[in-house]
Amino acid sequence: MGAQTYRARLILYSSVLIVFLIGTLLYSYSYTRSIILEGSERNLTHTVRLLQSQIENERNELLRYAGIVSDDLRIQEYMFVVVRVGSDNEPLLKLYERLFGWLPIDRRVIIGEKGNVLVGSQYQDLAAWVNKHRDRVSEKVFYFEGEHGLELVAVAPIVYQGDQLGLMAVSRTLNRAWLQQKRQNSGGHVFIEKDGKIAISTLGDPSHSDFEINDGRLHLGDETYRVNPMELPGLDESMLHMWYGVSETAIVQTLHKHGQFTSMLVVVGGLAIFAVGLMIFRNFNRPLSRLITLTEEITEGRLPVMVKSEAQNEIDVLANKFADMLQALREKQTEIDRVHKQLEKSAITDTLTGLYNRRHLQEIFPKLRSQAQRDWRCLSVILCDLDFFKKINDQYGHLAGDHCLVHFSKLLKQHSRSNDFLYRIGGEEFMILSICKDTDGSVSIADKLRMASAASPVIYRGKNIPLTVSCGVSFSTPDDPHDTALQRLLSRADKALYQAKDEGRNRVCVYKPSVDVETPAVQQA
Amino acid sequence: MSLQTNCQQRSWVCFIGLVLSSLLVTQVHAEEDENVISGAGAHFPWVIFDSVKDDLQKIVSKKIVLYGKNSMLGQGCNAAVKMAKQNTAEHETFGFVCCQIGDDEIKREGLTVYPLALEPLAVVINKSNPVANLTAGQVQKIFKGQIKNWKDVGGEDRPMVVITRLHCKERVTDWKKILPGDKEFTQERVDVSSDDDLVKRVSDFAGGIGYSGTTWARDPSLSIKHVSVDGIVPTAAALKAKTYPYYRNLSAVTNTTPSKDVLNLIREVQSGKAFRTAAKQYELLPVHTAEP
Repeated sequence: MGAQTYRARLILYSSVLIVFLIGTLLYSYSYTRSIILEGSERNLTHTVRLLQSQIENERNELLRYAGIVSDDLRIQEYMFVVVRVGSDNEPLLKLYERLFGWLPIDRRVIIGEKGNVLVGSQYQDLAAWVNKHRDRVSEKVFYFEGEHGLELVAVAPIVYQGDQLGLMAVSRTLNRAWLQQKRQNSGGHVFIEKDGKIAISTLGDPSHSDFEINDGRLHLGDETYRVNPMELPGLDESMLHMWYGVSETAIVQTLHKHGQFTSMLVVVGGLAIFAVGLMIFRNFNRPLSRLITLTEEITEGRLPVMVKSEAQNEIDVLANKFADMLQALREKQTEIDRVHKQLEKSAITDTLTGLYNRRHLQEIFPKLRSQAQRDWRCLSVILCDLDFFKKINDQYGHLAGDHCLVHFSKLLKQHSRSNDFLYRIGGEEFMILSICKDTDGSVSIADKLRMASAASPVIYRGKNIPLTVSCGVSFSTPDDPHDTALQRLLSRADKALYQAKDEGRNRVCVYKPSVDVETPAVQQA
Repeated sequence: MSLQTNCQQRSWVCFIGLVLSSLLVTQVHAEEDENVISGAGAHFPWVIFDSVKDDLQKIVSKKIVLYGKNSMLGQGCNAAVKMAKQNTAEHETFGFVCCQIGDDEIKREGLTVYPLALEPLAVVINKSNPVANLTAGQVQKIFKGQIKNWKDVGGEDRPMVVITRLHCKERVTDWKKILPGDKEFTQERVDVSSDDDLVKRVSDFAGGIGYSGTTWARDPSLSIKHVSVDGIVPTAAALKAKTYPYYRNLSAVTNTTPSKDVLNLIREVQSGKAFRTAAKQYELLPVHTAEP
């Protein structure tokens, strides 16, 4: 449950991060979009003002050029000679070319006071217009649409000795090259519109295309331009209009690219967060799950082996410590088992002789009885009691007595079968419990034991201590359900033992179940 | 260590060099001031002084610096008076004028005038104009505006373009020989500020007419020519014979305490051999020469 919570939290945190990332990037995109759009709008307005300012400067410059010419004393003198004296205008033309041929203008005319063209006779259209409007164009800049298209014209009076002799007009043709010059570094396009059509523009060749503005936008083919009108003082509104526009398609493409970039960031960022979550999950969840499983196994009583990790991160260190703890627990468990076995063994074993004690007999007997019944075999009990043992104790001491007990237990081990259970059930009383096919084997063992005991006296501190043993043997047959109780079997063996004692010791007596009074078969020495 | 010593030695050498140089320059400037005679004024006498400058420098053993090649209206004679008044023992100066300085001005400004020569004032017209001679009366009428077309004086049917330079109106000057007052000149005229402008205007307009000293109108690129007046060509000989009516007085001018060198210099111009050569070249009539 804890792991699930941890995973759920991890997923939750990752999701929150991804949502935050997406939110941030979307907000960033939205904010940037608004900045770009507002910026382009501001830039459009700013550029329009800039262009207007440039054109205004050009107007002033053109007016200054006209002033330079009209203020020149020599030009005034020559005008005087031509206009008032009536000389031909050739000297004036030559003087103008000599002095002001360098002026960066496209067309120029000098008109006399009677309207005759003194300089620039080839520009009759311009001269005619200046003449026609001479009363209101002097010392001004105006727009003129003549044979060469739209022109910016500056007019200045030529005065000599307080007398106006004529007009000087200089013009700059507002053609495509001029528009190109205006839009330089602005990035947009300049349009001159007349009667709803594009008269001139800085575009390739959209002349005479329809000029229709919808919501501040001009659609030309696949391109859409965001346009602003340019207010040009002196420009007759009924004549034509000038516009400046920037390609909205380019802005949209920029935004599209920005959107794609943002989307890519969202995907990459989401994947990165997912990958980080996955790594966290791998690096934390796996070892934690393993620790949880181990803890459950420990709870269930197992102490599994845990392979230690080479890594040195905190989780791995914790896992390694846990592995160390498991190892320590295993070692403790082994020690406990060993001590437990020792305790268990000491609980069922006689400490002096190493033989089983009565407790073991109580535990093992039901199993042996079941086994004997299952195999249809007999259970035999041989009770052995050392003869005159009290006397040995009294004569040689208790240590000698203990020595005799150990000596006899060795004999017991030597002459018993492998599947026999050997017990010391009293002071000098021993017992052999075994499963056998018949009674003869047990009696034979008892007798061998008696004979071996009698034949091998105990040597204690250089002294021979004669040792004899009396044995009583009892059996329980498989078909005798009443004789299967341990107590009964022991009681019968004990009766047979008493008989052997009574009959002079150092002999083997077998309990006869068919006789009411137990009359054992005696094996005499 | 040796490098540092070398640098220190070089610094000292440079410092001493600089000090000596500045002392030398100061001395040279002082010597230059003492060995220079500066003159300024109108263009026409400037031509005289400039043409004999080398000889004058040998005579006075000083460098002569002249200003006035391109004198403009109101600058030439006025500049000469100003320069003459600046004369000191340390800075010797003199002026040269193309007008006759009156007694009032001489007294008021503290001047001494040294007449040099008379220069014929030529009536100049455009070279394309077929007219070669005018009478003094025609000249006056033309400048008065009473004759406005060349056909009236035997030329083509072309309006006359009168070019004038009415300079030094307070002095006795050349144009007053044609008409005594500026008010008498036609209003339909072009009044220029220098003889340079004048001859150029005449050169530009086929109908142009003006007047200028004979020292001036010698630029071959100009399309101008002199006309004779009453059949008399403007020459020194004509002036000497007093048959040609228009001329100007070229003079040198100093303050009341000119140096000996300045006086020698002016005297050489007045009567020296070098000046006589220049006078021949420019049709000038030296005032103090025995052999014009």
